[in-house]
Amino acid sequence: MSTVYNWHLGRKMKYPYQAAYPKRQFAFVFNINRCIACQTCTMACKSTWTFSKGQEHMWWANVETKPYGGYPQFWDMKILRLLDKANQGKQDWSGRVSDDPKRPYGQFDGKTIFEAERMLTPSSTRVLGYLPTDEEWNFPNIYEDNPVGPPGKRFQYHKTGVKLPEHKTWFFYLARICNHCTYPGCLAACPRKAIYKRPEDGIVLVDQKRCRGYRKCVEACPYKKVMYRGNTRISEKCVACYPRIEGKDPESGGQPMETRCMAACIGQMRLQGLVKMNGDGTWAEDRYNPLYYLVHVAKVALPLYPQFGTEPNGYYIPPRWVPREYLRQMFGPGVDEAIERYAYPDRELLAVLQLFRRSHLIIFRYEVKEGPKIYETTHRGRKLTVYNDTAIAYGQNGKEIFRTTVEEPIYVRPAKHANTI
Amino acid sequence: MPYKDPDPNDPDVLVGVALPAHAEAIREMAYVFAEEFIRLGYDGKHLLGLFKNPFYAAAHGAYRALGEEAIESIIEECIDAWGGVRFVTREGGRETEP
Amino acid sequence: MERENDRLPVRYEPRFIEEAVFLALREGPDARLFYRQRNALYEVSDPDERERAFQSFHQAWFPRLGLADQIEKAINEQPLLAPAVGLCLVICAPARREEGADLLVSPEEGLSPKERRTVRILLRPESLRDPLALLTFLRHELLHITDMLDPHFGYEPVLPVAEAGPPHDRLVRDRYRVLWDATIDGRMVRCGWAPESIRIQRLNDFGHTFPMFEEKTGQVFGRFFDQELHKHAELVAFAQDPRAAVRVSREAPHPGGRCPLCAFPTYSFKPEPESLPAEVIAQITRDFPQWHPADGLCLQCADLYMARIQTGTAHSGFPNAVDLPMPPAP
Repeated sequence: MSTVYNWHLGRKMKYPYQAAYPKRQFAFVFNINRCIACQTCTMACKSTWTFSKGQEHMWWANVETKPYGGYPQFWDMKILRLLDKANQGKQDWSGRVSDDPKRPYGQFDGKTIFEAERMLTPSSTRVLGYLPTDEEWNFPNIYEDNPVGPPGKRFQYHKTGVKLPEHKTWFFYLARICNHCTYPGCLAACPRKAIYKRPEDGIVLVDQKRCRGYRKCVEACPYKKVMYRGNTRISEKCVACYPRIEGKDPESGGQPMETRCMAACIGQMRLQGLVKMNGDGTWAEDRYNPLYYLVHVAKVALPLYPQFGTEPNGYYIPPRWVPREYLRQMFGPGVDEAIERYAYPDRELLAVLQLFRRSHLIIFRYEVKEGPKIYETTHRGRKLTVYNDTAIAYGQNGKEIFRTTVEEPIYVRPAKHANTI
Repeated sequence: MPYKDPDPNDPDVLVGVALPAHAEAIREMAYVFAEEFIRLGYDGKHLLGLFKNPFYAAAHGAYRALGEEAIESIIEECIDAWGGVRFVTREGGRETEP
Repeated sequence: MERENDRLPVRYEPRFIEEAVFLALREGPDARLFYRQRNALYEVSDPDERERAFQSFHQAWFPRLGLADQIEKAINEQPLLAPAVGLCLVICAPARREEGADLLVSPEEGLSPKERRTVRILLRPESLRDPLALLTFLRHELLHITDMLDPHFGYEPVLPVAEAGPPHDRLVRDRYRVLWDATIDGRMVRCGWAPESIRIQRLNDFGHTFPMFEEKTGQVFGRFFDQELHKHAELVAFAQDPRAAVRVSREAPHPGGRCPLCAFPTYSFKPEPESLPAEVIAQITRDFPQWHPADGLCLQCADLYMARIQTGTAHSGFPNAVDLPMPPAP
């Protein structure tokens, strides 16, 4: 076991291998407030990568209704329960949310999946995890839209109603792909070193020639994003559409392009990119990279279950309406601040939010050209000023990809009313 | 047929379970829908249509829970705040609106 | 020479064997050896040949790990199976609630009755990890199969269609299942195959399914749980009309019983029918002279009669009212 620094946790942690970081890291931000679970991303991925025999149960990209659903079923509840069993009542955070990029969420004092492995037998196991059953893999989204009725009573839903089933309380849609973690659980667990992280972009891949189907990676990945294929007896996972990231897609003109699931998002809730890394595994300051801005400056985007300890590279703008306690468990202590800033976005955040899904090319830098004030108003008791700003997105080659401008709408009066002014 | 009734004895299955929520959760959810869609360019009429449509389960749930008057007032408030902007994107000389 | 009826041949689904071996060896002392041998098979380049190699490899390890023991023990302790059934198939169940055993009978002509019969056992590979629970489960399931094969039991694959229509079919089916399970678990307890505590579980099921016996429930239940040699026809007759079978007098309406007016089985009897308005009771007794409020009626019939009275009242309030024909009685 070596010791590595995990900036999500704000502390060092144990990891089976020595730290090694890519030059740039594949990362993404999903804005949950916008996701409508249309599953277009899910199908874009499936039709690109997992349409063959033996891959029927594989959904590298999926969208699940929280808290009712999960793919595989109960994945997060099960791993949280295991961690809690390993370290009862002590999975807590201390310190506070700060601007320190080495510990932006304070410090996690509980145990990660790499540190709780001692409770396991046999001693050869390196990561705390579990193997989902076939049933849990086979029915994504099962029961997610089942109606609410009296608990434990069957056939007693909506005795008097004829309405479609629906949840009578809060819920939200959680879109998920592999997080291409900085400290991947799958990589740590593989007994054959068949899983590797690419030095150029941090994408985590399973070497299909080395894999021998031990399924230790399936067991160890806390997000359950490695899947076993029964007919080849080899495990497979999200490849981050790496040919697109490499700019090899004919449409990209040689420039890095976002993955299929990102490009297909009709809710415009996804933004993906490559962030520069420091030698210690933290993100190098890159103030005008939109991902760096959303994660480290505006701090509206938070990692999914940072307490697992894998330092996932998927970040989420948490849904504003969900009880905070649930969100804190899912996204860590940064939730309150993130929601506050997202609900009342400042001038720059509003501009950066306009960069989502305006192009399929990866944005490496943005610039906000400030324009004059358009109007001032109050919204929910707060002052709101809107400016005629322009957000400009640049690609890897430094060329402008697009620009988005805030404009006052101009209404053209129809000709027949032209003289009524 | 794998799709059977959920097992009521399974603590993981949340079917038939109401989760506690802050009383304001639904109002907040309605605000989020209104703000996001207005920033996407929806007008008040279309947005109210979305809330009224039972196909959009979450929005319609809020509509029924809070009532049409409350939803209209949320929409109005959000239009006052965000309805005055239009985001115009220019890509390679072409102009597109979200 | 092996006699034909000695043993029932058992065939396992390759995927079931593979998963069971994989699960059994994940933490076993033989894992290293197993993986060393298995890894070599990935090198076979022809996909079909590789598939065959994996299958026979896993097949060799399955009995070696003792994974077949409980299944074959449970099959071989049922003397009726081998002479009457051609094959037993063991395949993967997708979920715990899908686990069980069925008797499949092929419609193909030119086969002997024995050749046409196959026992299909559905199991999750995970279930092999708890041999005791597995054995109990298989014994219960296989007793169902032997009942089906036993001429004395006289099994019929299709239950008679209930006069009262599909809702009643389901009711009869559920009742039949509870009765049959009770007779089987009674036998299991007497052979020492199941703990005495199982009686409480079956009694609870019985009480829920036959609520009409009230304090006599335990006594009636004992007829099934404690006695040997039941017949299919007897269970069906009881499921169709439990009251007749034990000569319980016609008392208050019971859940699942028929509404005396429309004759449909119902779980929704009108509560306190005696408190219906007097003119409603009068109207019902005009249509059904034998009926008394204590006999009960279903909610639908109660609603219908209430509505008829209300319509009549409203109608008579109109000026120049003419007599309208009343809607027909249910």
